[in-house]
Amino acid sequence: MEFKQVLGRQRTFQYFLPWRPVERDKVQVVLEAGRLASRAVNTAFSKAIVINRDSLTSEERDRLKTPLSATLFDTAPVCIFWYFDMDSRRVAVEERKWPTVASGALVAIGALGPPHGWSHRYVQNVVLPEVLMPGLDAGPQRGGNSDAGLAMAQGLLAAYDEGLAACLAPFDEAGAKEILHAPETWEPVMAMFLGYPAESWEAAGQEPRMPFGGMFFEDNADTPFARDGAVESSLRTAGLTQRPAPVPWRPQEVRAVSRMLGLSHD
Amino acid sequence: MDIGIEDVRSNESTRRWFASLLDLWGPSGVRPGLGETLLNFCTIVGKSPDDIIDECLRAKSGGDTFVLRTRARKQFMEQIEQFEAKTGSRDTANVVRSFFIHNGVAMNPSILD
Repeated sequence: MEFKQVLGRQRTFQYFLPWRPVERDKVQVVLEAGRLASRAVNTAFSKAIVINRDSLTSEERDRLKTPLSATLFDTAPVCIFWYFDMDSRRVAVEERKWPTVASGALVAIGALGPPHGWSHRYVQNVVLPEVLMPGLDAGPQRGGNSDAGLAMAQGLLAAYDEGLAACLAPFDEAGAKEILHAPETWEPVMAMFLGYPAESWEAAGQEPRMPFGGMFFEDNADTPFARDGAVESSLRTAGLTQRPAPVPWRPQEVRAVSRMLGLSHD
Repeated sequence: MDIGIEDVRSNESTRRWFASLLDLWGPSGVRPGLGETLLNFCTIVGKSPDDIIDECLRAKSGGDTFVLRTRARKQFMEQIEQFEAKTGSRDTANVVRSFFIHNGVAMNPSILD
């Protein structure tokens, strides 16, 4: 798919074909995309566990469900549990096993270098003690991590590009610890449900968003970024901006799909 | 302060700089004249290479790690800018910046007028 069409495909897909499996190679593509996402100090903050629905018992699925995600656990053939590894910074600093900034690898390969003030000595003597090590004594800290979210977001776009429908929803942390053996230091980000859509690709239509000028600013937070109509028009042509929700047939589609899947439709 | 080229070359910070250049760029990284340019700067500021770096990095207890002293760094950045204006050469000033960078003191000259 064209990149802007992939971006425009974003929907809260709620209806999957439960009987149509997701190819393993497509799942791998999602993970590969997440692995390459931008991350601070090249540290692997993001971790993920892939589960095939049919490998879980009904009781295990129930342990993972939250009220918001219960039906998704039953219908989506694959679920990826995305986590923020709260211990990843300590591991990067202390073990220096992976090509993180802390290991000096990014300077060695020339990704970071003298033109921006980077050197091995700067990393070892200043960045490590002043930037990466402070706070480690306090142990793993909850509170989310933007880089873990970025990896998941990149995986989400890859899923759309692979022709899959996807939905992000919370999962039960305690249940996941028990069933997936997620370490204590992994904080949940979201569950990503994957499958082929039982609804149309338009789903409800492109979902409404807060007005552009209420989200983006220029020069200061008082001045909305001026939106150019020509750009908006080109994005409609390219497929990033699509038909807004609700599409006229949505109620009938939801009823029909719900009947097909045996879900409540009243 | 009276300092000569051999003094400059024998300072630990200068040797560290050359070793890091060699490590990063290979033999072509240690160009002729680097030590002389650093000597010119040291003469202007009246400090040896080791003194300059010691002013910028304060050793923490144990001595293995350092705290970057931002005020000293800023002062040297301004002196390098003056050095650049005096020599009329960004390349010459960048030699001095390289000395700081490879000793663990980040230097980022503005590329905008």
